Amino acid sequence: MRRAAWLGAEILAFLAALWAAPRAERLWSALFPEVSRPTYQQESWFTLLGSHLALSLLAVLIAAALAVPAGILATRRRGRRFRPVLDAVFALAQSLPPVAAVAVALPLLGFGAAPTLLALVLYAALPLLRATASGLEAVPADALEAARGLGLSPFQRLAQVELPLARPVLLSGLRVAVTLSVATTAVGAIAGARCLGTPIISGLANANPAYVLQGALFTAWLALLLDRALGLLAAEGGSRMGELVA
Amino acid sequence: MRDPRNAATGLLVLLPFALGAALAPWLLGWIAVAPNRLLSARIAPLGATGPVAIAWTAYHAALIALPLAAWRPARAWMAEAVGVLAALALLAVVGLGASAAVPPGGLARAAPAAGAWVALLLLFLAISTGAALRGATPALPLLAVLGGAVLLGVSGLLDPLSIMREALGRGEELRQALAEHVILSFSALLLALALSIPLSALSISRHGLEAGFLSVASGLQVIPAIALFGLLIVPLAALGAAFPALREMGLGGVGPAPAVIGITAYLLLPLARGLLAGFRVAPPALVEAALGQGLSPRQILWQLRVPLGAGVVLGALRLAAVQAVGLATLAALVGGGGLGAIVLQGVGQLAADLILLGVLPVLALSLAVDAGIALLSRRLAPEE
Repeated sequence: MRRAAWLGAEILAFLAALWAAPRAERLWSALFPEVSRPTYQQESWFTLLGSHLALSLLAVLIAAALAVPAGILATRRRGRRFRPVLDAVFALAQSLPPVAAVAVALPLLGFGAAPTLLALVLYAALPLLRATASGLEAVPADALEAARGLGLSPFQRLAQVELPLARPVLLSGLRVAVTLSVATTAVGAIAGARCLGTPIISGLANANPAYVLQGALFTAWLALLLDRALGLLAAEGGSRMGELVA
Repeated sequence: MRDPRNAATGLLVLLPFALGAALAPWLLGWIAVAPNRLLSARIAPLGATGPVAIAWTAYHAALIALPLAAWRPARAWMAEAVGVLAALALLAVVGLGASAAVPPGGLARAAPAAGAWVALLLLFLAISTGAALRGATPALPLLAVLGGAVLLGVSGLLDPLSIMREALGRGEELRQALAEHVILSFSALLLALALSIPLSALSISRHGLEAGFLSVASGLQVIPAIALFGLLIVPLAALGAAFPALREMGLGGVGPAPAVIGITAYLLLPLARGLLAGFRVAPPALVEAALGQGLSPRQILWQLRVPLGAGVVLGALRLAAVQAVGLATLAALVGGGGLGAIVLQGVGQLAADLILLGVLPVLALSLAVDAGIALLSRRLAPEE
């Protein structure tokens, strides 16, 4: 409970900092006396935050809609033989960094959010897929046996026994997916996706370290905030599981 | 593993890939030809010359053989070998077809069409799946495809393709970017090892240190790379301005320094996890016995923990090295050079050939690192 309150306070501080950033001209010019326009004012930080979040979370949603059913199928008796395909996709994607995926998708989809979204969905789907498959595989055989003994149908077994037991693993996969997604969105700024990475890229392109610092600070802070929020969610799920077992 | 179902599994799983790789060029084209650099490319028919027909036949024969080669689980590697041949035959079809479609010396440019790219991607997936079926890394066969492609390129077979023209025109730049990329990733890996080996060794018996080290390393992991590189620029620039000697060593704001430090930061977690798990492979009873015999903690580390945990540590090293190669692609953003510079140039000009010219060597490099360390660990621990 106290951790949730701290997190809420930090979110407020984050939003306040976003509000203050374009107004703190004296701070930026004191830090960067050699830069003639040290305050990023091209767009509102809230617009950038909004489109960063929208892009990352939309990608995670699409990825989850693809990956969770695929992970379920890969652990059913009929689908199990296709498990190596999942491992293959994973191995292949691991040898290509997200920035390369964004760049390769760029000529196909053009500047804007589309190439980033494609790369985002791919890289967010992988941890979710792996988490779903390994979470379901880790469900103890006697729990399944008991569910079968109770006369539950395959769908009921999945919904009432397997998925709830796999929940902690699923949540940790979600956490990885969100972290990756927020980071890849920031890289998407090179392909024209509007996000908190945009000031970083614009600062790097125009030799303006003040823009770089502002963009980098808020991007990093957003990633840490989201990670902590999901960690809290996972911990709460864990304690609820504890209550159930006890 | 004499499970009769395995045979059917290999066949069933690889069949869709082979079918897809056969259909894609028919539906989406083998080659695309543009009249010049500015006009957009259109799908062109394959010329019916003798060499094209030979390569075409080889490609389809390999596609038929691909699922059949997986029939005998004891020789599952054969499917991967056939997949490599299929991918190279596909490249030969495209290269030979392009030279038939584009007169040499003209302005027209040929490139693989979408169908050929899709087929190539499906073959990469089929090869990886073949490797996954026998629980191996796909790095070696995939590297064979890329190596074979380089040989085809050197032989001049792919010369009419626009990406090859781009590569020939930028040979020196490409070599330099590759060298910078290797140096960036290797120095970050060395730096990360130099930090994480002593910290992990000290953490074996100090739980406070272990918890602190792991929480710092995993906190760093959450920060997006582009933000971390950006955050490092400012203090490094200040440091360089304050101490000109450091600046001369290359420790300024923009350049390789923020990239190497940033990459190092991301490698700490995989290395720390692997090292800690590796050092703990040695059973506590064995460590007790060694202590009883009067071995010092340092001797126990090097004579007991390191040899027993080598497999686990190498696994982590492999992961970290592959990540280093990938992350080094972002170094170009902060002026650190490497293959990312070519990718970024391509992004800036919206030039697909240039982007691929940067991305493909990154892929080859990370596959080479992966395969190299996998071979090393197989040699060190043959019983596994």
